[in-house]
Amino acid sequence: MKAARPRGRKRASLAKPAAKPVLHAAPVPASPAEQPKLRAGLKLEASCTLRDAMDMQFQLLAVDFGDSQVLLDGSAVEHIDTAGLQMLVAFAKHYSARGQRMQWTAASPELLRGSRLLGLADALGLEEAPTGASSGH
Amino acid sequence: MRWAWKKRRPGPAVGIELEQFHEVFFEEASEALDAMENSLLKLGPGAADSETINTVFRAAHSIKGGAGMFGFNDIAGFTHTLETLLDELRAGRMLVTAPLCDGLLQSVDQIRSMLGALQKSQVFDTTAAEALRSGFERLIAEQKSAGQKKAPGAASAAAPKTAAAAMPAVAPASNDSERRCWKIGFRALPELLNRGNDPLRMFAELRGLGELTVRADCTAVPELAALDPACCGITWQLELLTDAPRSSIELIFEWAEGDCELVVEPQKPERAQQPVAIALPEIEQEAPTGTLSAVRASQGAGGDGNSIRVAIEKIDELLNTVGEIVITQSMLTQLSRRFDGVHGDSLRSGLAQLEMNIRELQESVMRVRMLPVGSVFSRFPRLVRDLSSRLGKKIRLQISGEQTELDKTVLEKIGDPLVHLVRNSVDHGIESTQARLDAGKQEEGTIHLNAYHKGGAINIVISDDGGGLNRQRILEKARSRGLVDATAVLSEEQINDLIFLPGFSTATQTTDLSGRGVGMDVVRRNIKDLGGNVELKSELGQGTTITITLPLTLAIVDGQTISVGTETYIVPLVTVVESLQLQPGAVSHIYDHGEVFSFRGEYLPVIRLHEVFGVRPLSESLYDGLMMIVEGDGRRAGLFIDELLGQQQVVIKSMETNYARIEGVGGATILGEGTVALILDVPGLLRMTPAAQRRTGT
Repeated sequence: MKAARPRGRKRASLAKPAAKPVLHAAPVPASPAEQPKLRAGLKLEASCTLRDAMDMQFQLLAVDFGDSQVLLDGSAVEHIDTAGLQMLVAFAKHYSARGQRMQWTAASPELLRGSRLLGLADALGLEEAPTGASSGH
Repeated sequence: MRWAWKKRRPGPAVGIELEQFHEVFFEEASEALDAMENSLLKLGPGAADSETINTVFRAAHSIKGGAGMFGFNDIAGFTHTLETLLDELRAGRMLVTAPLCDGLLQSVDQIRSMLGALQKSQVFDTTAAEALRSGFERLIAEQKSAGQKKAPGAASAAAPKTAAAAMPAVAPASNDSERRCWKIGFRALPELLNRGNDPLRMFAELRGLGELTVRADCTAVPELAALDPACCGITWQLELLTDAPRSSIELIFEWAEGDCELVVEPQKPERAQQPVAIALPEIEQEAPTGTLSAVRASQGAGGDGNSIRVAIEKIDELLNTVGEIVITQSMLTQLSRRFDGVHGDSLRSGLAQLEMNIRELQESVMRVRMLPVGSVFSRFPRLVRDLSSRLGKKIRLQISGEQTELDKTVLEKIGDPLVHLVRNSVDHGIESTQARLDAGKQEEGTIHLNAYHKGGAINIVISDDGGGLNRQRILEKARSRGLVDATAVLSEEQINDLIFLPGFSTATQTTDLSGRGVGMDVVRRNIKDLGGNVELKSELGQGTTITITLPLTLAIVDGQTISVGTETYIVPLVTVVESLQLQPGAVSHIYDHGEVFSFRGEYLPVIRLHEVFGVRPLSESLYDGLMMIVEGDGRRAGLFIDELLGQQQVVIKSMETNYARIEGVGGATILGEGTVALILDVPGLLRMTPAAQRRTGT
């Protein structure tokens, strides 16, 4: 699946895969201060576990943010395990290598709890993330 | 309440198909239950030590962890309550009482039943488990409310019944002076996540023990494209401030044993008191104080890091192949005799070496199948405890020789006969307390289970110091049932033998423990099916000793090769007493007993093997051929044969599997020259003598 590249000031609108996506792009409202910069958003699925990891990896690789700022919405995450969190660490590394940093628009309590318990909250930039209740809680 | 057990899919927190590990869980849970039961049997008022309670706790915890991981929530919930109760015992806040021990043992039964039902996807009635669980919860709640009102030292006063059963005090959890800081190094090995072990769950459990600080090192996590999601590249350094012992920490990682590198070491107290913050994940890690390679380094020799589980079918396949090699080698050896000269000698020398190597290989494979008989004996302490308490008897069970090894198949099949014999000893053997006191015996009866090697066989002995067999009553019963002629005079041994007849029971009162028709005849038949023998000795008022002789293995036998006419037969060497040539006139013909001859003051029946198998012998005269004295079931007879050919170890091929069961034939084998030879079942042949048939009324 090839994701659509964001153009001009238009917000990224990444195509949803035909199969059940574990992750998809969602328009993320930008704050006025950040308006000039290109931004692309991803909303994590409710389940980010080893079982979903292969799909998750495929989707993350398929999505190309280009030079846009990477915004993640983790508000829907209900289940996450070490494999899921490690995937996010690898994703963060992928963009930090390009000089980009991941930002969270929201993180569910489950996502925060898991990342803190594994000592990964800082690496994922989740300590600064605004909390957002997952639908399951 | 009845629930249909379903093997549920694991919860979403677990990422992969875990069904493939269910069998491993069932096996390990079963082992944990055995360990739990054995420890609980040692536990009792006045005999409670913290190590025993810890062992029980560890077993319960291990089951809980596994059950939780696989989504078997009912077992996990039940063991969770059990674990809470055990934790109270462990901390010395509750005391061990006899009813509590009974309850704990019942909980083992419940978990076992739950696992059994789960394994077979059967419906399980949880009423008893729920009742037990409620009882435990009530006990815990009562203890907690009592603990709030009283000082810890006054606990025993709150339970007068338990005053004598005070356990050695274990430091209460609230004792801050016992708090230590543990430094834990954890690195996942490639299979960790794939086996359903999630560090997230483990760390959550760790946090339950105290204050936890986690530092993750993600430098080894590869780029997204190169990442294997199931391979965890993060390593952790954790600090845990807790009052829990090291064993509690290690217990959390128990299921990950072999799939992680773990170091748990105490930190210096001053370091422990330092406030610690969550460290940045990607900072340079300080060098670990010890190598991480020692997986559960502190664990003793009991750890099985060097062992693997192998399906028994694989071993059997290997054994079968080795058996075929033995036959092929034997054929080659015979062929080699046709070669002369230097080359022939070299060939034979090489084949001799090959034979030696194959023999070693065969023994090695056989050893893999050997298990200590203790695995069967281990069920008896519980059995004797439960039965004796139900019957109001005081019985001590002594077990020895539990390290004696026996073939796995033999071991599996000997369990039920042994249970029957031990039950008989408890129910009929050991007298009631009053009867023992009246007879001037000790109040407490003793049952002794022993196993040892003897020759090429294993002897298992069940002896008791009970009332012994009442031969008079046995004889009367046998006569009343028409099993024995009213005028027949029987030796003590023959009377003892009567109890092995089908349907024979002298129990005046049929209890639910014994006397239900599954009698000693079934026991003997089962043991005979294994190629074994049962012998019984009993003294009235002194006790009974039953000796079971079993072959080390069912796969090979040391045999004496004999010939009758053109046929070759194998006689198991253990049954052969000696061979002789009879002097003319040594054989007499006795009515109802057929042909007999005198052998060392005893008249032995003659079995003409050519008649049994319908072959033409070299000579039909008993004075021309050889008389082989054989023994089985405590009886002897003379086998009339043509010649002795030699001794050799043969691989047994089952007749039953390949053809049908034949009385007098224990199996078959393939000889070196490629022909098939029957292996004689001597006890079966002895049952064919006229005297034996008259005894059994057939």
